[in-house]
Amino acid sequence: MVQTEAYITLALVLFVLGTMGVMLRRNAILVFMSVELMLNATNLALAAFARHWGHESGHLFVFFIITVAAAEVAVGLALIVAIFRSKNSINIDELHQMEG
Amino acid sequence: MTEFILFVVTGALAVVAAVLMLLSSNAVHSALFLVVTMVCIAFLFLLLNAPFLAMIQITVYAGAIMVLFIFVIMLLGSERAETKELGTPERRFRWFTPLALTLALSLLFAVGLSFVQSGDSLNSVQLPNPQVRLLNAAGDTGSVDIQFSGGTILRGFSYRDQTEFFEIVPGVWEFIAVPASGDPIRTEVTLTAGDYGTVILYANDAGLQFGFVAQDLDTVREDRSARVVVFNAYPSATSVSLIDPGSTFVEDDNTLILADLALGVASEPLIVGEGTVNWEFVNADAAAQAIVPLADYEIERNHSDLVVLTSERYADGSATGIVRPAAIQLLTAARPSFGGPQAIGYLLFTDYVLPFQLLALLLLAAMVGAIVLTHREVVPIPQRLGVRRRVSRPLVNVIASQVGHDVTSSAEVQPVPTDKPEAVGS
Amino acid sequence: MENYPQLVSLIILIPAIGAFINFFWGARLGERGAAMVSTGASSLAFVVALLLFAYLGSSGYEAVVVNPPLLDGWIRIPSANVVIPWQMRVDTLSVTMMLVITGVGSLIHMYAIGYMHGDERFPRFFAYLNMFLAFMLTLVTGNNLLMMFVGWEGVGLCSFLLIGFWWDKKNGVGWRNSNAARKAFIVNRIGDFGILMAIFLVFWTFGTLDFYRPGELAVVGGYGEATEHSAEGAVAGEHSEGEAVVAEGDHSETAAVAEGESVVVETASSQELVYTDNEHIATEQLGIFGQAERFVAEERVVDLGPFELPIVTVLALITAFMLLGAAGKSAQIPLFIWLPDAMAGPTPVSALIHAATMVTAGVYMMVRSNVFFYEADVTSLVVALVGTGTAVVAGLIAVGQWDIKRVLAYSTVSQLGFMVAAVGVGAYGAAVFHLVTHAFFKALLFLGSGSVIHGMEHGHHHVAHGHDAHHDNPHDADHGDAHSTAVVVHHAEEFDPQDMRNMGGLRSKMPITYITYVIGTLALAGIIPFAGFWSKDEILADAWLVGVLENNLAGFLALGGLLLAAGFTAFYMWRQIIMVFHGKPRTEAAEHASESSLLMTIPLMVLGFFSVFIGFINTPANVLGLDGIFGAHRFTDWLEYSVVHAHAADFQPLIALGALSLALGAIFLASNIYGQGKAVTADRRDPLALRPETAAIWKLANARMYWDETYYRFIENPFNVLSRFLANTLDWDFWHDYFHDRVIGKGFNAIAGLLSKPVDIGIIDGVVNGVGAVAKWFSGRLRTLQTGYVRVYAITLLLGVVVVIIVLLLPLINTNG
Repeated sequence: MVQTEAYITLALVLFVLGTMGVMLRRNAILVFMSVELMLNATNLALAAFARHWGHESGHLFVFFIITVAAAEVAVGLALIVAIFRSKNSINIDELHQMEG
Repeated sequence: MTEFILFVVTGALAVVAAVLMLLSSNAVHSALFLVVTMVCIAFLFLLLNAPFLAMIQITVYAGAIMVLFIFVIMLLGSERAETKELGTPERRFRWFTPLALTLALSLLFAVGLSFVQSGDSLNSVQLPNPQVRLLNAAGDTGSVDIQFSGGTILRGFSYRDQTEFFEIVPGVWEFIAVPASGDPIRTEVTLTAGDYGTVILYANDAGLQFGFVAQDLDTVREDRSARVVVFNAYPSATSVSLIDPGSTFVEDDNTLILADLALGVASEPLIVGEGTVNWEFVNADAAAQAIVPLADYEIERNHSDLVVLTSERYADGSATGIVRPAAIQLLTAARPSFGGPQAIGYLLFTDYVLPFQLLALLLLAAMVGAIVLTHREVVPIPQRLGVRRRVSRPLVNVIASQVGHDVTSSAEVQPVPTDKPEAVGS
Repeated sequence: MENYPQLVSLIILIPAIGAFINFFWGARLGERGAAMVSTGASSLAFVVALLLFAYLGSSGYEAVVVNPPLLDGWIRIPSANVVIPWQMRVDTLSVTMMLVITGVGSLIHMYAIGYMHGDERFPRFFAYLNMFLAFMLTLVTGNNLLMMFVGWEGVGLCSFLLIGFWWDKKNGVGWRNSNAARKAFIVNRIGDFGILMAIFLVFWTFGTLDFYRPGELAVVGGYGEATEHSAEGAVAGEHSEGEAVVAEGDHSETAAVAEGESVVVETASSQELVYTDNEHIATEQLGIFGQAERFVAEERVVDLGPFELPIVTVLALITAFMLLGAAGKSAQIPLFIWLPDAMAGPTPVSALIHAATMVTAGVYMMVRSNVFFYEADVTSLVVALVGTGTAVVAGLIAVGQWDIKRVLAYSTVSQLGFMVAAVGVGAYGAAVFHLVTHAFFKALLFLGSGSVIHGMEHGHHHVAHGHDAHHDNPHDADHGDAHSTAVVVHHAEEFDPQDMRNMGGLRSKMPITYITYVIGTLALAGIIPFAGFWSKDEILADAWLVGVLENNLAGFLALGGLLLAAGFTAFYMWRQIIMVFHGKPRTEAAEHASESSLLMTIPLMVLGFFSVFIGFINTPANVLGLDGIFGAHRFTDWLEYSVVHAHAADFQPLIALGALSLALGAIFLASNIYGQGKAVTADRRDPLALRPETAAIWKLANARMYWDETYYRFIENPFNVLSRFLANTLDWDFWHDYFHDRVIGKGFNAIAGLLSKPVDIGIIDGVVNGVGAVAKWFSGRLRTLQTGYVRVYAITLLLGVVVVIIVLLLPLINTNG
């Protein structure tokens, strides 16, 4: 059985990659996809831990995360569409009207 | 070993795909790379004994969410990538990339280092604590008190009483049965993580005895089968056998199921197909003399049953009653397989039903929100008879006209845009 | 008869009611009604006094202490052990005073009806007179010092009101009248300090102010030496109202009844235990005089706070203060200066208050306290010296006065000096006797002078208005002028109807006035058998006896001085007679003077009658058989029941003869100097002023011995200067202007300015606004955190997460796991 640590490490790497994508990409949709990558990484970690402790509640939490991610993607993409309709651009650097 | 190789390969693939997703300049390519990553993760779920999760991952994530992403990318036409996407052309954000990389690497480093140096707690898969239950199969003795770990846990534990599985920490435990009259008897049970067991109190010629039957409540792998364990507590015969008499009309149509089970011994687990069986306990010595039938025994799939043969005192109206054999059946459903939908379903509908419902509401809200956000206000088009045409405008423009200034452009206040006749439903 | 003492409340009440009626309804009653009310009240009071006299005469002259109804417990402070009841005392001394006051008072009331006729404030005058009577009667009937002081102050008030009665006369005359009234009041006040100190000391020493408590005997057993009367054997005692009358008779002797024994005397009505002395009463229960006697006997030491004094010294102090009070009220040196100025009041006022009654209050007080004075030898010496000095000084001054009333005023002062000197040498009975006789003839003289002035004014108006004899208001012109010549309203030239230089020859114009005036003069001068001879002679005899028998210097000094004063008296009185009545009229006013109305002359006649015969109440024994008229020393005997140490002196023929010859010689001298038209020189100067040997003395006398000027220079002026300084400089300039305005006003403003501008606006507002400014700056800075860029937010988030994770995982990293 592969050690749980390996899975966690993999999840960590993916998470970090997702984080970097969030910070470095300017396309809103790509940022969003990086967020999805982060979520997947956490899902992986959760599933690994579920197997480690032998309890399926980890799986349940993954289930919840997937659900929430779906909802979030729906709303977020709707937002992006709406923004695109008005600004004709999804460069997040151009969205700074709420500045102080 | 195979698993490891699979893990490494899949993991590498996932990481590569993620990197490519980040570096790709084409949004659709990025999406597709993400799909690859997700599929890899689904595979990893499978490796982690989470088939249900893998299925959900493929279905929902890769199948619905990423499709939605692709739709939006296409809709917005951003497959036409912007050059130097992965840079920060603005001067003010020059510090961004170094900082981001620093942070990310430090996160990686910190967590990884702590992970590595934190000890061996994650080396092995943890097994749950052992669980035991008690059964009183001493038919003739009367009620006893059971003492465990210094205290009396059961009083008046009489014949055919059984407890539920209760969890105890792995170790060596001592059970003491204190009968109403006579000396207490004791036994020691050694339990390790992941064990299930039944402690059976029975009586033989020497008096009360303790017996321990280890049980396996894992999912029965064989399809539509159950696991049956038989315990012999019948003192009047040296050994018993379990047979299936077959048809009553045919002589000697016995099928031997279990042979020569001595007193105080548990059999190996039998894997039996589901259905209703009529078995019989027979004396192993003397010409298969029937002891007691086990009639209309419904075997359900994925069960782990325990059948105890014992003798009991039966009150039939006489002064003392008669002693006759009896079979006690402890029908226990085996645990569902780890990560299977059954297990997840159990948890979901018992412990986690409230979050489940809340999530449903959340999904509903998200749906409504998505619709609202993308809804285009339909402006009435003036009639040909000179009435103003209803023109559909984006919601943002409507808001702008109501608010009085352009709510979308940055910083400056622009004059209210006039009605631009647009095609309906663009 | 037994209940007559209860009437003593009426004697105060009736004049008070009269005053009350005249105050409130006098204007409505008019002259006639007001006069009737007040004179009726006065006469009724006299009737009551007569009844009381009758009672005493029939009850053995025992004193009665009366508690009037409704005034039970006047001052009662149980916690401080102060009990001063409103009690009245009916004994021989107080009845004597009552008779004199109400008798002379009623006559003067009658006189005043004519005198004040036409005055616009007629009812008020009579209200004041009645009020005066009420207060004076309170003074003499009080059984304790405080009641006496109430009357003391009341008569001072009435004196003020009456002296300044014409305060609104024009041309400064009104001002002079009110100044005189104020002077009288204030000088009296100085004396009041004395009597108040005496009252305080008495209360401190004895714990009470009562003269004699009910049940206490004022006169116990024997009276001491020099008594001449044979014993009658009966017992006299005092008892309060309600007990049975015990005995009649005059007085007791020590020989008859031993001290300490009580005798059961059978009377018609009952058998009562009668005490002959006060031994059965505890010391604290006695009145002040009884306690004083006991204290002196046991030589008690009085604790006066930080120091202790023997009782004799305390008594000396008390009597010294009493002397000060008497000096104020009875016009002795040095406080007699108010009495001449008091002549600014109407003549009836002068007659009643400043001749007969009020000025005798001091003498009454001292006689009442004879027990104290008897024990205080030093003070008695001082008293005698003061009285003698007063008599001499006033007599001298009277010689040089031109105003008819002035002469009489100084004469009063001189005669008061006689009475005070008598008290000083221990002749208490003689002092009271002289008081009584002096009341009559001095009142007579004053009323006579008023009649003279009245006549002069009539003559003046007669002349001024062309011989028409209508009587307009004669009083709006010159009456009441206290100082030098007054200004006549009607004429450009000055005319003073009181100036004797304007008179002369009134003998034929005003015969009744002349005859009564001569009677009064002879009585005053002390010519036998007129009243003044007996009373003056009594005093002189007592002085001689005290000097000789007790080897007392005071007696000799008093004798010499009083003889000199008697000489002066006769001299200036005869001078006055010559100037006013004899000779020829020196002005036209005197030419046309006429006799006064009956209302004014009847009292003169009545008083003249009394001036002749009143002296016989106290004739010494064996004098020309005159003692057979009433009996010898009847008055002193009568008085002895109240005044313990009053004892009559033997007749001293030598002294009497000497005084008589001195008086006659003075009269002869005066008639030589002033007679035969030499009364006033052609340039209105006195003959004495022309003679070189007497010119200086006469000038001194005319200038009233510069008493007022000295007082002004050494007391009034420094006081005025000081008060001006204190008021103007200290209070106004410094305190008000400088301190209040600069220090307080400006200081306050400065502090307020400091608090408002730098503190309130600067600091407090600065702090508050500063807080706001800081918040604004801070939020301005913080605001820039919100860049609006999603990426910045994301990286911030990540930064936070990394930091937290590193912090949390740091322990795990460092362990060597």
